[in-house]
Amino acid sequence: MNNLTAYIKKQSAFRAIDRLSERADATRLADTYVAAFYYFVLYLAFSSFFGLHLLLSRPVSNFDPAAILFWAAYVPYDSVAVFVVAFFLFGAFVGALGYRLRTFRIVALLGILQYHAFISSFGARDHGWILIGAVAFFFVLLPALPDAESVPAIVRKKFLAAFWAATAFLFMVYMLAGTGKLIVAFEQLFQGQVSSFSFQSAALHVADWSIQTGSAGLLSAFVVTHPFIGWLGHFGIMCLQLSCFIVVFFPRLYRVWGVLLLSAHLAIFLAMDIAFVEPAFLIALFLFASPLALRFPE
Amino acid sequence: MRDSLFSYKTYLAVLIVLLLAYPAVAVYEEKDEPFFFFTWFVFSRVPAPVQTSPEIRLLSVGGKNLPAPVSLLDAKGTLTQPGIPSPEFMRRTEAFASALKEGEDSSTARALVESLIIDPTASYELIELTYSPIAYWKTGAIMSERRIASFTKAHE
Repeated sequence: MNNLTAYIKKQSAFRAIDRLSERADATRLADTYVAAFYYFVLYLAFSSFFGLHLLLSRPVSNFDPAAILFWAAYVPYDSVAVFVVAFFLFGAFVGALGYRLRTFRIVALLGILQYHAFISSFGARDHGWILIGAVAFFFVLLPALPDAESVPAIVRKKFLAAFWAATAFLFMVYMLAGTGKLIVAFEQLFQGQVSSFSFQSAALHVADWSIQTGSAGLLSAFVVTHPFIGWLGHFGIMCLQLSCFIVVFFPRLYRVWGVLLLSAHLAIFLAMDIAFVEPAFLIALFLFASPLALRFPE
Repeated sequence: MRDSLFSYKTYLAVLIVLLLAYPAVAVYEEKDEPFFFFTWFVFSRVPAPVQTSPEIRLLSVGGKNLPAPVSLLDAKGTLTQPGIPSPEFMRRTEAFASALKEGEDSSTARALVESLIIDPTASYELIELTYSPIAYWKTGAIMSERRIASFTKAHE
């Protein structure tokens, strides 16, 4: 038991941060990933700019600005759309070019939040953008890092800690999803309802969602007609989500869990036609080759 | 904010508090779902094997009766306003049906439903369907249906 505890402590994210901050390579890699994130935001901003005409054609009657867009009530809709997209693009440019400066990271964050609020102001929230906004938020807290080699170790330590916090937010989303499923599963079980422990649960989810949305995934029919196999996937995804409570603290597991989480998203798309694109980049960036998973001497 | 202001332990503690604050706010404000704060409790509740669900069916458009009533969701993209996601159709239909069922003022909910329909003179009916999702998905079979009321569009 003592050996197990010692092993767990050695593998933990906090020990990794401790040891990896003694040298520069992990921090330099994390810094590169931070840059990559802002380049991704620039890509998203370009996409939004090229899609501006679609935003301008949306029915104004459906526009109900989220709280952060309080100023939109005083401005014509077209002007709101143009300003939000332009500011998003401006913030993405300054973030990509000057990500090392906190002021520019703040501007990029404001652009992201305004754009996210805008596209979430038509009756349905866009939840994928929460991940982008959250990562941008934690990156605002990064310490100044002019050069990974020459700064004191404590600066590298804080940098890696903030990077880990952004990673942890990604995991937290899955933890919450799994927790919700588990709590309601027991609630439904004790109320005598069909719960996530029932082999029919996946088939019911798929059929009901398909009826509500009028769409179906490539494997929707398979899941509905093979409920037990569907249940294995559904229950497996719940377990995967719950396991994130532990995995978040062990960077050496990040790569495998990254592959599993993205596989889960693909399975959900095939079964229910629900596309959740943002995790593809963010999971690859934070989990496939995490700076915190670099080897360090015991 | 100067980076040397905080010790590492304080800095880490702040990060963890911020991480934990998110689910705390999201769960506390779950009903209102403020912008950015989401519980991520998605597909937690397994749908019941037998359900009732309201449905809006279009009866006439442009002053002419349709050959058969058409569900609003089936008419999406042709007879309905563009750019509105399908779950929003369901949400507004359920809000309208619920307001009528509870005897509350349904004018706002009705206006929201009617704003989905392009034609200003359309008539429609509100139906309550009883069905098994799996059976309905496989064969379209409905266990029973009950007409609640019919309407002619009153709002633009």
